[in-house]
Amino acid sequence: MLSPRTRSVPPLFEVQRLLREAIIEGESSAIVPLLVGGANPAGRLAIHRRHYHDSLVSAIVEKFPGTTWLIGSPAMLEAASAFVRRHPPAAPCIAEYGEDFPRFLADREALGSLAYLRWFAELEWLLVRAAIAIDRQPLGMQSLADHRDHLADVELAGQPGLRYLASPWPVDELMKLYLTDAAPEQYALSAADVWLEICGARGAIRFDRLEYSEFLFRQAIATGNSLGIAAERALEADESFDVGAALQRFVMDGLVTEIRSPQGPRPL
Amino acid sequence: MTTVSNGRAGSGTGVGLRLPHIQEVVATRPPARWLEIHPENFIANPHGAELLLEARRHYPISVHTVGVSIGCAGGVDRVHLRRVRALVDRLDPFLVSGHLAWSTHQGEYLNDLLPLPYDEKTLRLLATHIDEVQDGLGRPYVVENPSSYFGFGNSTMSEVEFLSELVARTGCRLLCDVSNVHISAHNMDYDPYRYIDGVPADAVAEMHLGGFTAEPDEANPGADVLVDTHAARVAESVWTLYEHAVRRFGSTPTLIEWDHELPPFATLLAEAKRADQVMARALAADPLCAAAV
Repeated sequence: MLSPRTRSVPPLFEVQRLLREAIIEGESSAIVPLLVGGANPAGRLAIHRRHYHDSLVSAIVEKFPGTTWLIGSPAMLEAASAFVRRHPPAAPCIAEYGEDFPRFLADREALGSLAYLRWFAELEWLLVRAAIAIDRQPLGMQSLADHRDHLADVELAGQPGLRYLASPWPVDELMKLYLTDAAPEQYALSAADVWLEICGARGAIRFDRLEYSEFLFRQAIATGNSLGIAAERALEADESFDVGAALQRFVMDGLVTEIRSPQGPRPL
Repeated sequence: MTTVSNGRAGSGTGVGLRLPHIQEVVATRPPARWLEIHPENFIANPHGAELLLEARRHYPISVHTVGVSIGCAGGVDRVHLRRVRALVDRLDPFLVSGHLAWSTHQGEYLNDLLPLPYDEKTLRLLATHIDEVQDGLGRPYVVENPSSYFGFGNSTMSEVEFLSELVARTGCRLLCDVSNVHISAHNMDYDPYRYIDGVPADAVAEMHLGGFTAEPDEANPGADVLVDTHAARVAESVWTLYEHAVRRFGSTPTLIEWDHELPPFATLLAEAKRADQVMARALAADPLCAAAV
């Protein structure tokens, strides 16, 4: 089929590096002499370049419909296009691709006037991830009672779809406008810290504001810290923080699915 | 290497199950003979995986990877391979397949199936990688012929010779994508029927049929380049080639692939029904095949 050539051929690793350069960066002068096929193999290379670009831009745009609503399709396509060139996926599961996009958006000069944009996109990313989670059977307070002698050392696993976001802008208000299709003609957003809890499963999502100390407490638990450390963080922010009541609320909200204790449950 | 799967084997023509159809399939159980999935769509999607496991109760499943980059010069992505293995263990599919291609380079995933030069060095590398994949999955790997838009001037063997050697060296099996044969033959100017005739028939475990899109070939006015878009019905010329392939390979599980501009599930079932009819006609016309059936 293909006739061998006498040209010196680089090793496969180098050939793949050159193809990667052609596909992602559009620089194909070094790879084209190695190719055969049709009257113009360089033109054929464009099929792969276009597929890389279009499939990943589409994946990003699909994950950030609210952000697109906010900045408009042309700006979104331009930003997504730049993102896929600068940040190729690190793994084949495209559902995981795009986590860095909100930070990337914040650095876009053309979008610099929208200081809240990164935080809105961060919230949207967390909602997308929460929506494809599944929830587990929550534990009740009785499960914790078995560990009461060493409660400070206990770690709790939260629902898989549980996420936390501290934002310097009240982007949850904006997200509610988007989700309810209730955008007013004009809307002014003022900077204000909000601490958000996001939870979801099987397509359903919710997001709620928390007090700062409660946010620190719950976030510390959700990121794998012991109850003792979570309590310390909350008490540093608010010395009147009621750890027992906060723990009860966390459990009663159905967010605890597993207890990990270095000592195991107290024997009966 | 473990080679036994308890998964129910698919027969006749199955359809590709994509995420937009999964709720409907689980809820209404349409009469598909078997389903093929891309593990990459489910590994990072727990809700999708949960629905897939429900579908698994009612349909034989085949797993078709798009991210196990056996042609990557830097080595197989072992992290991804472990994730695929975990899903395969839960599904116990009747086949696990992937592509004669590469997709990753130094930690970057290019979201495409990219071509390889066909020479002895590449062959040795791929044989090593297929051994690693088969060990990692605990079962045979089924390797699909790619759709090609260009090749490499330093190739010293044909694609069929390359695939045949891989089978001989690794014991892997083959997935003959009949549409890819048609596309590559058109784009690279060779005879698709000779290609089919050269494939080691005993190694063929599955066939694929998918739609393509014809685009103007920029450097060749009036000519088309065929692009493997999986966004259309199977072309008439591919049905004819498929009939020839069935006569050569015998009764083989066949898949209707449709990934983009996804139609209603019923359209996929109609394409699958046509494939079953073509297969029945081809087998009936061949006394040896008919006797085997």
